[in-house]
Amino acid sequence: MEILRFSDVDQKTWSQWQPFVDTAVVPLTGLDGTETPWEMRQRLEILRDLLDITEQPFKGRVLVLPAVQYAFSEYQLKSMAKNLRHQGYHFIITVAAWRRPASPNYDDKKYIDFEIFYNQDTSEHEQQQVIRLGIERIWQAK
Amino acid sequence: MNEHETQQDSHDEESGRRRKEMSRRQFLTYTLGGTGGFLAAGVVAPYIPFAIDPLLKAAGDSDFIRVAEEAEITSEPKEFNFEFLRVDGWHEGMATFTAWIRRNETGEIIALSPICKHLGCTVNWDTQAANPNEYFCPCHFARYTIDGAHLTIANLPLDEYDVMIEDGFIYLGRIVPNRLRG
Repeated sequence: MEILRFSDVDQKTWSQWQPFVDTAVVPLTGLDGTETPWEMRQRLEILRDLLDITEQPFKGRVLVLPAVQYAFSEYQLKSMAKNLRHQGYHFIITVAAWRRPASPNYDDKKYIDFEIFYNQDTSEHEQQQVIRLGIERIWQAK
Repeated sequence: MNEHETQQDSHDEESGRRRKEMSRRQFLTYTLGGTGGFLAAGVVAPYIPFAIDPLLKAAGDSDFIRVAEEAEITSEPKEFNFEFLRVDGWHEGMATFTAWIRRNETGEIIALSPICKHLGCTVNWDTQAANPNEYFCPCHFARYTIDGAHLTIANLPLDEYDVMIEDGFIYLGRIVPNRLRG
């Protein structure tokens, strides 16, 4: 069974999938223009690997949306999450290729159900477990 | 028949013959076209097998990979992860697979694929207190028995791997439909 890609979904297939897909995954690359091309590539590779381990175990219920490549304010993030909920997603997950700094006014917990960060100190298997358990926890909590 | 009519007949006959014959231009077109096509085929033909190489290769159904020691296997399903070279057209890469392996009541070793037959999520063993000793899919709550038989949501049992045992080790091969021995 193939992974559902937003790029493969048309109006007809979405009406078939929508009842089963309730979790939107938003990738955040977090570029701000100060990176060299190889650093950008590295960031994208990290993001790709994180998305693989997020998407693969839960295909059929999660849909990975297009990435936010450059800097994005908290306000925009909240606004996007709110719009996604209006679209019918019950759960919003962000996957960031870097450790997002927490701002003093950081209070988007109610907008973002689960935040996945890249952690270079943990193995891929450990990271996989953290992601799996985290997603299962938010699903069970509702 | 007068002389004029005779000349006319002779002219018609000649032009009819000319119509049936090939003109010099046609002759050159066919000859050069045919020769060019033949030469092009000679250059291109050796590369055709390379171009369609993945199609010519037989599926690797005899590929088994060592996954566990036989002694590790009990009647309780145990999760094993292993890497396998996956060939997708020209793209080759290592892919991680998971199998839930147990020894059934008749002593046979069964290795189940964790891919839910509903929409493809990954099932886990015995994670629901309300439904112990079952495989459970966290996505849409499909449940399966210890043998992989479907109980709810999914319409098919969990697939299984071909199993080979050699020198005390378990090797897994292709994923095939569940034989549901129970």
